Amino acid sequence: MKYMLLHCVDKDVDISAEATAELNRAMMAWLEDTIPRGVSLHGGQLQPAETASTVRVRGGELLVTDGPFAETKEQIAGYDVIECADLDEALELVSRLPLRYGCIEVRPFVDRDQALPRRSLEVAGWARAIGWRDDRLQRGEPPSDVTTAEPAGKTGNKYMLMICVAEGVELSPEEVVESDRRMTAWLEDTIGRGVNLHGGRLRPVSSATTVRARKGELLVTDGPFAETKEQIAGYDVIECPHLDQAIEVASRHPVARFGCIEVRPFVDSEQAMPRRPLEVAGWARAMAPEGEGQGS
Amino acid sequence: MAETAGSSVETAVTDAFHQEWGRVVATLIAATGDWDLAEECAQDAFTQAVQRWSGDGVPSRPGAWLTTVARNKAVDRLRRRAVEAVKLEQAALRSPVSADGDEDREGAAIPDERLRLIFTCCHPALGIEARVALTLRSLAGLTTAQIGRAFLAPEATMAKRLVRAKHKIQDAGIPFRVPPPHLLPERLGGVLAVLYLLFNEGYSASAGSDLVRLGLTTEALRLARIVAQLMPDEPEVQALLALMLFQDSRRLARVDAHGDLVTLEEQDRALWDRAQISEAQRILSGTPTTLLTGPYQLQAGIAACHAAAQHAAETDWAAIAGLYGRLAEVMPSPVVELNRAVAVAMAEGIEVGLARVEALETSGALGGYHLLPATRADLLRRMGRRSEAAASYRRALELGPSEVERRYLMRRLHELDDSVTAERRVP
Repeated sequence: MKYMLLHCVDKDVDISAEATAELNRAMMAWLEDTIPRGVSLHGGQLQPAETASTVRVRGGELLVTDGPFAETKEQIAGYDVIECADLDEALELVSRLPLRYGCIEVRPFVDRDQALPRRSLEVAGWARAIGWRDDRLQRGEPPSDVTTAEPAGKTGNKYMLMICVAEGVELSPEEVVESDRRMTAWLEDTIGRGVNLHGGRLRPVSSATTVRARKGELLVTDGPFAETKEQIAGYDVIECPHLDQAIEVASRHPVARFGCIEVRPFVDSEQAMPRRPLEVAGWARAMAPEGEGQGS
Repeated sequence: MAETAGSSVETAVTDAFHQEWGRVVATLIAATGDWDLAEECAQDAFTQAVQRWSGDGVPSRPGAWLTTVARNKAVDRLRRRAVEAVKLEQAALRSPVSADGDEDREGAAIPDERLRLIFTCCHPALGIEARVALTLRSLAGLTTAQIGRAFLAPEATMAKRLVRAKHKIQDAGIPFRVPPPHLLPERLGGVLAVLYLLFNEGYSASAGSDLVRLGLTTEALRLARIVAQLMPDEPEVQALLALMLFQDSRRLARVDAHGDLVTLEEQDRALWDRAQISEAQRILSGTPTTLLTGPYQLQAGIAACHAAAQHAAETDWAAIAGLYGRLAEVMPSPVVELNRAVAVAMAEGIEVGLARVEALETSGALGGYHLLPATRADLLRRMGRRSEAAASYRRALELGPSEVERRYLMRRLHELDDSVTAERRVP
């Protein structure tokens, strides 16, 4: 099973520099354990909720609001994608993450093909998912325009798109077809341009489990981290030179027409990279500037 | 097999239902991973038992017969779902076995999967209401309508809750297993909490008016017996069963003919069920009171002290106060402190206990809890401080006690009002 871990932090809590250092150490220890085992696939830390913009398209008109998709006490501060046997294993992994200042929502992905890198040779998953007929993709080769696309890593900023839908929204069969068509076009375009790094669809919020730690005790509860009208149904990580372009990309996502998309910058462009033992340098640098724990 | 009369077949099916439903469902979930299929096929097997047993007689091992029939039905259903051919292979079901021939041999080979079932039903990632409902449905075999009535919820609500819980198990990947040793103490605590909640739901229901809820006590005892039998080396499991038996032994004495609550002190102890008390004592007999450690062991120890007293006056309150002291250490809670205060009052003097109750009031930890002023009122009444006691009873009544408790508090208040008036009348 593949799970999305949504790290949430109580926005009223001021975390001291000391506590931050301790959190980073705990995170580091977790990554050192989970990356070599291939359990932790990728993840990243987001800028605070004040930096969020939420995008909606209604009646063909683009509506951008300042702030996150829901004004909740706890706000999403980062994410991790893990792959393990079952929920118990996921909860065990979560129990070793820093939980003192908020909580972690554990949400299963709809299938294992989700959240795979979208620029590398591993495109087969999403290509199958969206029914891409390109033979090269079926063979696992990237499309030609991807290889020629300008590598965005150096100049681009990374943004998390949280795809949110209100519970109970039902589309007619025609709308579903239309939405799927738009989704395929959106993926073809954003992946083709090298903007869309990875993403995935989550199972409905009824499958969510939230973990908190209070007074040294682990509290596991059924349900999402906050009972909001709109809930996260999926995510995409995109790389763009600036927020305006990120908003433009979000506005063309089909869900913007009936749900909303929160656009949130990552703390830096090293975030949300695939975590393979050979590619640990990124997070190691990010976590320990003085250079300890460098990967090979 | 001998010809069996209709009524005894009915009894045999009912008995088998109580004893085997959970086992059949658990076996099928273990084999297919499909909760709905498991329930449907178990249901079909019992329906078939009603028809077949009246003609062919009750088989020597009803459980094995039912499991075999249910499994064959599961194989049939999976076969019919052509698209699920792969699933059939994955499920690794053995080829169907004749229900009339080899059931004994077949039955012996089937492991008891009920522990896996109950640990999955009581998984902490499910809401507590869902855990309770799922345990009653899949392990105890109550219908959705029965569970709805027991928890005063519409059947549709309960059905939705069950469907959602089963989806979550499937979608979120909740494993069907007994947790490994490092998770076991915590998860077992969760299972026992569900069983004790079920028991208390039934126990707190008043007699007569609430027969469905009273039935929950029986279901909880039945389930606790199963877990106790499957985990013979877990002292907390054994203790919970003993605790339930001690409490259930007072069933007839705790409510009078009018349905009014009778306090432990005033109960007619001849009405206590001696068989249940002896069984509970036997379960606890391995452990001396001083060596009891877990929360259920300590609570069972307290119940055992009450059960051992022939008359209320013979109660060993010092031992009970000591047990509450240790319970407060392993399970700190203001409610435990309140009960401890009563035991201390009885053991060391009412004023010592009253001081503890007043300290609790000052702490504010139990603000709005009607048993706090009710306890204070009882202690004041014992000290003869009648008007203060009456004020506390009134306060308790304002905080929304249950109907049975309300009648008890009113009775106490009237007794005091009468005597207060009598006092005033005498110049």
